[in-house]
Amino acid sequence: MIDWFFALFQPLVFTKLILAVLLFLFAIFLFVIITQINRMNAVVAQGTSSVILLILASILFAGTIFLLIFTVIVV
Amino acid sequence: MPDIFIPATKPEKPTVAPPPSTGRLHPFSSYCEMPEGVHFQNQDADETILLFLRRHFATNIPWIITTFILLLLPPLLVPLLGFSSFFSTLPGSYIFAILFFYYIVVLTYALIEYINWFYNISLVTEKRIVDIDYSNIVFHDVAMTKLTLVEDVNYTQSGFIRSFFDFGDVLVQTAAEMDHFDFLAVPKPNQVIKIIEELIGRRRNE
Repeated sequence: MIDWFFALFQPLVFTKLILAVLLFLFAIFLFVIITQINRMNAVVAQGTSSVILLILASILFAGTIFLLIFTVIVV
Repeated sequence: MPDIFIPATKPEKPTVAPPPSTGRLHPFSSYCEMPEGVHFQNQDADETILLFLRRHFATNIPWIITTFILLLLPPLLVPLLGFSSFFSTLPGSYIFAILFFYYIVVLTYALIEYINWFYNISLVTEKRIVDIDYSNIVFHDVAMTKLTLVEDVNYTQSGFIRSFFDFGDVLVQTAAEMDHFDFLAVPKPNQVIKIIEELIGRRRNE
C-alpha cells in the first residue's frame, strides 16, 4: 500500500520531486514580481520601458511554467 | 540732452531656462529633462515633469558583473562537476532541467536588481518634488513636497568614481513633515540643484 511512499525516496524520483516543488514556488515568486511591476507602473508610468520590463518578467514566468511541465511530464 | 523721466522697468521674474527639447526616455536613462511619456499617480492635468532622475547607471555595475559570472559558471564548472558522483547518475533530461532552472534563477536575480534601480525615481515638476522609493520587491514609498516648502538644496560628490562619472547625492531640505529628500547617486548633481534653485526662486517671487 505504501510502496509509492518509499518510491519517492529513490534518488531520481526525489530529485524530480524537489525540482518540481522548487519550480512551483519560483513560479509563484515570479507571479508576485509581475503583479508588483504592474502596481509600480500604475504609480509611475514610464512609456515603453515599463512594458518591456513586464514582457521580460512574463518571459521568465513562462519559462518557469514550461520547465515545471517539462519536469513533471517529460523528466 | 539728459532724460528727465525714465519709466521704471518691472523687475524681471527669474525663469527656469527651458531645456532645448523634450527628452526621450530609454530603459537605461538616469537623467532626463522634460521626459516624454512619464506620468505619476496624482499628477495634475497642467503639471509638467521638468526633471526625471534615477541613480547613475554606473551604480549597476556590481550586479551586472555578478550576473555575468553566474551565467558563465556552469560551462566552467561542468568539467569539474560533470563527472562527479551525483551528476554522473542523473539522466540528460535532469541535467537539462537543473541547468534551465539555474539560468532562470540567475536572470530573475538580474531582473530584480534592475527593477530596484528602475523604480527608484525622483521627479521634479513645476509644482513639487516627488521621490519614489522601491525595494525588496514588495515595498514602495512615494513622498511628495511642494516647491514652496523647499528650504535648501545642496549636493555632495566625493570619491574618484563619482567624480569620473559625474554623479552625487542631492539633499533637498524642506519645512514639511518629512524634513528632507535624498536623491542618491543622481547624474549631474550641480545641474539638478541649479534647476531646483531656479524653481524655488520663481515660486517665491510669484
